Amino acid sequence: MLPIENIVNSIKEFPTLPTIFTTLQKAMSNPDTNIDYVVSIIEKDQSSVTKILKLSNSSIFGFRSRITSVHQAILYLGFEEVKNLLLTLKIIEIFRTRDEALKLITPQDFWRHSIATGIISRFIGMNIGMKSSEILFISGVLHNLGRLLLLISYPDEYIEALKKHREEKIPLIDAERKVFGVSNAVVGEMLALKWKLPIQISDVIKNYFFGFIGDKINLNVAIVHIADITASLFEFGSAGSVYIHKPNPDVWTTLSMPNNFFSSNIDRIKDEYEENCSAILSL
Amino acid sequence: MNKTIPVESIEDGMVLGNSVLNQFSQVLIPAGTVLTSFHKNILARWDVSFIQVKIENESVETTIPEEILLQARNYTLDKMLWTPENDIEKDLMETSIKLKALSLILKGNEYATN
Repeated sequence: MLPIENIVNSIKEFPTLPTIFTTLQKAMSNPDTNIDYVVSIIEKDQSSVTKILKLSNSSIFGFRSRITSVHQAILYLGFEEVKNLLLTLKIIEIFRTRDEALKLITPQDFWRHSIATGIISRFIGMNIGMKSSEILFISGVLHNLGRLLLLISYPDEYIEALKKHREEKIPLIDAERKVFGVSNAVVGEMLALKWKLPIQISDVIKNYFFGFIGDKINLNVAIVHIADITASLFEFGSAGSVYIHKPNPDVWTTLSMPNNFFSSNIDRIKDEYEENCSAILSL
Repeated sequence: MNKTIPVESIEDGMVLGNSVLNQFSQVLIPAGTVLTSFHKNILARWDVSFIQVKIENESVETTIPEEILLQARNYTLDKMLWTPENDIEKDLMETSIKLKALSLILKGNEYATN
């Protein structure tokens, strides 16, 4: 089994978040900051601007085809939502510069699964009438960060985990525990702490597999739990799992989704998935 | 919204909903192409049986051949480490099976031939 110190060191050596994000975060924590200053920070990164605008116009954010500038995006979606979109894009960028290190999976497929989980999470949140569903998209997209770090840093050991997953027909997260001593959830939480991601996101990363935080209900965690399983079953990308684990039965009770939720929403979910994948993964 | 139709039902002016890909995932005809009898003929020559076209405000009901549905069901059940225990889990599983069946149809039934 790999010593946990090695994993901790891999996380320490991993890059910090880009300056644009930390500048934005600092500006937004200052109550005197005005919208024009925030816009000027974001507009320094034109590739992100294009993607933010495409995402802002997606119907999962509720303002289809109306937003044409960062200024408008902030007005309609709010500071937090735009900040989360930028954070999502920047974290994907950090990992995508390491695509070549991913020998065991197809990076494009991995991100497709992550984006699908984000979209389905947001979709469930909106449909069950959650008041603050802003954090769901980013939480869904980032739920598997720890797995990505393990795949990049320890490809040889991860082959062993994939082998155990396939041969023993156990969830991949259990195979990771057998090989690494910890699962991607714990590794992902450590990376989230290094990057000082909001607690709601690190809660999801650590607990998405179970659907609960210990025995406590947490709507974000419950939703991403179902969205992750759904994205895997629908084969919207792939995060490496061949076999798909059972949803926690108590999560259904927590979410009170209608019994025909998936069959009645599949066309919209599929459209959103295809549209947003191409927006985020282009260039 | 997209609807799956047999290639022989293509009519001039229909808009392709999903790109037609070859076995190496290269785009042969991109999504959004306005279809004509030229496309109908060339798709038939490539042995493509079904395509997806864009539709508006119409409920989508694609008839999936029984044997494809069965292959999709077996494939999905093989992947699941569980059996549905309530109505929403059944809905999730049946929706997954239907999606798989549609992808089998669109990919020329790769799963069946492999």
